[in-house]
Amino acid sequence: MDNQYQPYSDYENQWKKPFEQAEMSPSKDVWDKIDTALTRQESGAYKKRFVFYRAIAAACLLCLAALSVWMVLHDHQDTSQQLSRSDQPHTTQDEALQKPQDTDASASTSASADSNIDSRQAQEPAASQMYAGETLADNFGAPKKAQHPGKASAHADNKASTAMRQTAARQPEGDAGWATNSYLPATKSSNPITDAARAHHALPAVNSERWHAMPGAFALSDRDDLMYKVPNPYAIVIPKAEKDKPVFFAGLDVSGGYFDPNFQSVSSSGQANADASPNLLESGVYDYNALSGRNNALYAAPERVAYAENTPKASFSYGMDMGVQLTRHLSVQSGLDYGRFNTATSSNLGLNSLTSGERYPVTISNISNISSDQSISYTDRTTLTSSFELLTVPLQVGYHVFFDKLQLFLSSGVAANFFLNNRISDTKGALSTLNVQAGAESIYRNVFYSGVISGGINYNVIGNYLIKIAPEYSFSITDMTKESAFISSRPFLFGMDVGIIYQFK
Amino acid sequence: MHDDKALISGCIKGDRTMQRQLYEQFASQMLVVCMRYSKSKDDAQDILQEAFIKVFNHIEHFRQESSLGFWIKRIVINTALNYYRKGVYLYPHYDIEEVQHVGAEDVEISKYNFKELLSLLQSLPQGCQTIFNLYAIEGYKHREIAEMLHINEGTSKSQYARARSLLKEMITEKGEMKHG
Repeated sequence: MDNQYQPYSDYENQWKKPFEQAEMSPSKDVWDKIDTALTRQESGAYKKRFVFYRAIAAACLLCLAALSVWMVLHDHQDTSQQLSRSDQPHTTQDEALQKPQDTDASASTSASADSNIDSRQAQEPAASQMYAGETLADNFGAPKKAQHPGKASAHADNKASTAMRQTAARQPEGDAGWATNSYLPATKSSNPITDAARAHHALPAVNSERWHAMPGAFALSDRDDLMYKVPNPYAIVIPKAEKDKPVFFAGLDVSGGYFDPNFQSVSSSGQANADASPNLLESGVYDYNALSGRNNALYAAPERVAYAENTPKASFSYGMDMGVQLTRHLSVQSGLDYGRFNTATSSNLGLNSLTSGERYPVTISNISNISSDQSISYTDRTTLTSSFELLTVPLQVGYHVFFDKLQLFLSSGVAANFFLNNRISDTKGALSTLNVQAGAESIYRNVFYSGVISGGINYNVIGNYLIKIAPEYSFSITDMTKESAFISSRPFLFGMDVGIIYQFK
Repeated sequence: MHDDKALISGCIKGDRTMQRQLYEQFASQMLVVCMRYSKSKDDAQDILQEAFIKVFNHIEHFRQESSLGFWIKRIVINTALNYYRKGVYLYPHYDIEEVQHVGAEDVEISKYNFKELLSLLQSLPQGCQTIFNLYAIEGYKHREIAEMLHINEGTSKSQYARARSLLKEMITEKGEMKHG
């Protein structure tokens, strides 16, 4: 059938020949646009790599945060255990006598050998018990002696008990202070650590490890029924209870940076797609709702385009922070920030409102919202600015390291971002400003969530005031756009946060 | 000036200088191709731009089984077809009998330069222009054109016949004007 035109082959050749070597110079703009498009694509590829690296960075930071939380909690637990042992100011005699029985028999044996009281050993408490229940009791006066006269005299030769006695002997009898301060050792005037250590060295049967594990020796007060624990010296030197006292803080901050809504096609293809044109309905009207966006470009009509609002411009946010420094190293922080994040795009489409007569810009933010009282028309290509207004509530955990007045910190967490508005304006002012809000008709969700990683310094400038300088990276973990939207947006933000913090201490 | 292999290699690496060289080497020829399929130079330049972006995005797939120029031209033509694909659907279908009838007479083409012929081509309705280009100048068969444009073969033939008829009218008119 194709051969039916064979007689006219000369005709086709006549058409073909003049075009074979024909050339026409394109305008310089063409290469510039190609260059721009390639650069945009490269930055898109960079973004993909960046997403990978940021995921690794986020994982590292989360591990670090988890490790620090674990360390802090573990440390706190140890401290609590030590303090709980030390914080028993009123220990009954029965309790005191029961506790040492749980201790090592070897200590008992060794101490007992020195005291030459083998015959009583079966009935007597162990060495530590002796210190706690009897030898020390011997030094604290008659009431105890009256209770255990035989035991007290039987241990008169015991070196350890002698040392303790000597130590205890320096303490005036009936000192009221003993009844109220359980942290004081069995001597009032001297250094608690050295004295306790001295007492430790005077206990030949109890090695260092055992000493550390022991609940401490017990001393009787002037009250018969109470004994006071001689604290473990290792516990005394760590005033953790005071160190871990939570400190609340609040502050104001401003942030400037780089925001990219990161619009991507919902399809897997990242390539430009010239097929993406609106469906022509039978009525002869283009169905703009069926548009698809590829490669940051939306082909609204075969020869007209509206680009995604992916070119970052200077953005800023400001707000307040509040939080609590749970421990020296760990803090939890939240706050409220208002941000206006600007991007640029271009379009040669105008949206005409048939009711108001106004002409609005068309971008991917509003192209799916074109209603029956609006129509599309072509304009000269114009540059548009889109300002995404978001209200952000972050929740972050931070790890702090202190150097005198300087703190270094790393924090990570999540943020809820409430979409307020997208204000699209024509930089030349030829088109009216358009506001796109979240809602049923919008491609944007009311709220989306992002991960936040920041690190920086706090510097104590004066009193309770600190200044904060912290680079911050935020990346969405849910789309800013709805699942039903023809395009997806996973914004990310890199900014520099500067603020002032007041600590309530 | 680098040879094709060096250009291709540079473009695969994303070397912008090489990409520009490749563009400058072929852009002038390809713009004429774009012009043949479009209605204006602006549209042609848009197609050219889009086509070269595709070239740079896919140049690693170029197997060197044909010349680089031919491969680029194929991309340019495909881009142009996509650009105007909607228009092709809109044109009426003529019977083959009618096609055989239309354009049975020959006209003299050789006395016109490519710019004049280009102007004539751009005056054709979109579907006729596309199919005339594909058949008469690119050398595709109607069956291939039908597959490319997702139309039936008869439509391609009828569009071609219509294009010839219209061109004949325009050339005759132009000749009459030229010769008084």
